[in-house]
Amino acid sequence: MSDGLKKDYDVIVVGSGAAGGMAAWALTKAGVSVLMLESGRDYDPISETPMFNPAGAAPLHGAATPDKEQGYFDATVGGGNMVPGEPFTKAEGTDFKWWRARMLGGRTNHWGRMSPRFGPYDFKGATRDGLGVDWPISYDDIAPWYDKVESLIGVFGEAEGIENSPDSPPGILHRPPPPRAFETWVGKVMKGKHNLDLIPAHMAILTREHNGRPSCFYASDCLRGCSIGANFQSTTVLIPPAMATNKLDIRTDAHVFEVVMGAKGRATGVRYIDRKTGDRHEVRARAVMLGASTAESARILLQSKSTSFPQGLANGSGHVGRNLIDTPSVGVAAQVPQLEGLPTFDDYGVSLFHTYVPWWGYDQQRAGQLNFSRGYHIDMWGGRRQPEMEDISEIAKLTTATGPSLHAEMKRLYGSIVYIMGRGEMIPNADSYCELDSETTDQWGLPVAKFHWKWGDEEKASCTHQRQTIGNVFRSMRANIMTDMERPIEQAMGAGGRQVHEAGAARMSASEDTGVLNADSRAWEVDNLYVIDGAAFASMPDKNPTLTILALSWRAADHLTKALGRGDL
Amino acid sequence: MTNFSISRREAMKWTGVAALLAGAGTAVSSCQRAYVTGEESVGYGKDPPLIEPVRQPWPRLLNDEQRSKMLALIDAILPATAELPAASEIGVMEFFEEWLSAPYDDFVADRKLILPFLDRAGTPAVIAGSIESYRKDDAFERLRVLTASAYYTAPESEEAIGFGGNYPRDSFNGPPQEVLDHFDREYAKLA
Repeated sequence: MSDGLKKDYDVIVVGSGAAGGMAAWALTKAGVSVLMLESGRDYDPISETPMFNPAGAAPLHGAATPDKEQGYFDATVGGGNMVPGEPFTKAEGTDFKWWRARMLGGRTNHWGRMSPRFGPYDFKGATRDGLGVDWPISYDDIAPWYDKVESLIGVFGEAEGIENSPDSPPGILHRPPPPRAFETWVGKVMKGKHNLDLIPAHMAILTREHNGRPSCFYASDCLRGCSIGANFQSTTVLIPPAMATNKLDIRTDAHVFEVVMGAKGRATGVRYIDRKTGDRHEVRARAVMLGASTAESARILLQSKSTSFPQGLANGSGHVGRNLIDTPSVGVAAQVPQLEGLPTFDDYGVSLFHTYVPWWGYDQQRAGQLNFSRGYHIDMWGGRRQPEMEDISEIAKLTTATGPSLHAEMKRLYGSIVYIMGRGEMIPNADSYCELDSETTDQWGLPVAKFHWKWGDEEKASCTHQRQTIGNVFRSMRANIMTDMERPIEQAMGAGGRQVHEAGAARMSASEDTGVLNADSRAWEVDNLYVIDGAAFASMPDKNPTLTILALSWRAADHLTKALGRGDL
Repeated sequence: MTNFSISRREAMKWTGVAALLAGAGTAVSSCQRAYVTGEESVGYGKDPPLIEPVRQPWPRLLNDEQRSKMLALIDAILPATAELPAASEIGVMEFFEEWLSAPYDDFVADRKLILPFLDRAGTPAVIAGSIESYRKDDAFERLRVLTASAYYTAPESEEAIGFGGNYPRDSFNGPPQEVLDHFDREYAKLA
């Protein structure tokens, strides 16, 4: 090797986000040597996060552009739905968005930090209602790793005793912050008028000092990242301690495109492209863990063709790229009169969600009263946030005033817009998958991902109920609903991938013909290849995926560590 | 009192840059062509500096006449009051210089909407008195919304709009009692 890399590593980890960062941490802590390859650039939240810059300090006062698609100060580097030189395609009739970051730490730098555990029902959905497939593991199989992940990264929340929403053992979760003003008001109406419980969310944000990281100081938008390490990012929580073991080498600007196979039916390493020079390199290891994110990991497998694997590596079942799922979601925006004209007070909190409503409808579903089989949770946004172009312009549109009365109206209406959203579960369907495009290539000549997408009836029924329920809440408080409630539900749901929870494209299964991975996150057909990101998911319930990605990745790393220790590989 | 104090020499320099980008022609007509197409400018890219952002990252496309009309409009929409500065005093004109010369499609659409409106709006002297006559004009409404958005995302206005401030705190304690009492009273009205 000419570029400072060791000749042989125990494990190559592809990706530096939740999956890759967690695997690298767990492996190196166990004494395993790891080479982590990250497609994007090196990134340092400590020096790069704009913690206190107001929107007005940025060009266009921070308004979203095709360059910074979530606003100027959002942490995403080098990506978004449009990654220069790395397009994707969509089949005719498909609407799909594919959010990618190109930075060390990946999407953990800008994500929403929502960290619920999946529940027992979520791993055995097919057994319960015949839809989709069961995971080859149960909640009890993964629970020890949920405990470990929460204890490591720090999550706030409470034990609530809610059906299919598991509680953590005592002492692990941090104390949640109280609700902000808009959450207090909406929660009051939700409970009093609709018997919906708005409770503390589980969030990967510290509210006490933890493992040398300080508590959140109730300022600065988490979506910008965090220079004090008070929320979870791979770059602040996993990578530094992994580096401190001296067992981890990281190569950034290293875009992996192929897993290399050897004569014995095992992976021998990967090939990657140096983003800066375009040169191609091969590196070797005893095992490979793919954590490039769902569709990128599937793409690597599909590109890694050989005579043994003509359909792509580990794809004897044909399921690589298949079973692609995302969170079905609709949102409703409303102007809430009871939030007008409030005095100035501190309402910053942790910037992201303090609360949510976990799914409450299991009894109704058991009684056959609902026309959809899985749950959804409700969360909300809005209130008295630090002014940004999008929110403030919505306020300006609520009035027609000019002159001194426009000043007065802006102050009166500020903080009174609330967005409430449902987040449901998608059943995998035959029309939703990704494959390699046969014509279009990226800047390196690699075939791009082509997406096929269709929301199924289950998802549309769930979203219809979401919108109705949220509308009822707003109507009962005489709010002025701003969203078009008559818009056809599929249009309101928007593109697949919009929620950035894409999963399932190399799923775990109980048998070789129904998925790609076994219960250890290991490829059925290649015993030293693991897939550790959302591609591994057999289902995507009404719970945000990152905590489960972390838990499965750590569990897979532990499995691999044992296999290496036994000399299996 | 505006603090938009660009020197005549600097104004000429920007006009010249726009002319270069648009091709040959007089300064005024080149500016008009440049604002219509906006093809020549490039965006700030996918990895711009966040800690010290660079303002006005592309050439300005407004000419002096357009700038004078914009100043009159934004200060009519959000004038100074006893407590608050006028829009032109807190960077709203600079915001529009960026917005109306930005190269991205949505911003080019705003440019195509608003700059012809400036042609129809009359002279700067009559603008303040003509606001009511503009109300049916979609371009004026867009300009009004952008002016209010720019004003109330300016750093100077965070306190004015009622934002509690972005600074480190030891704790977060939820809304004050007066706000909770207000919610109790409002909830009782829903019965």
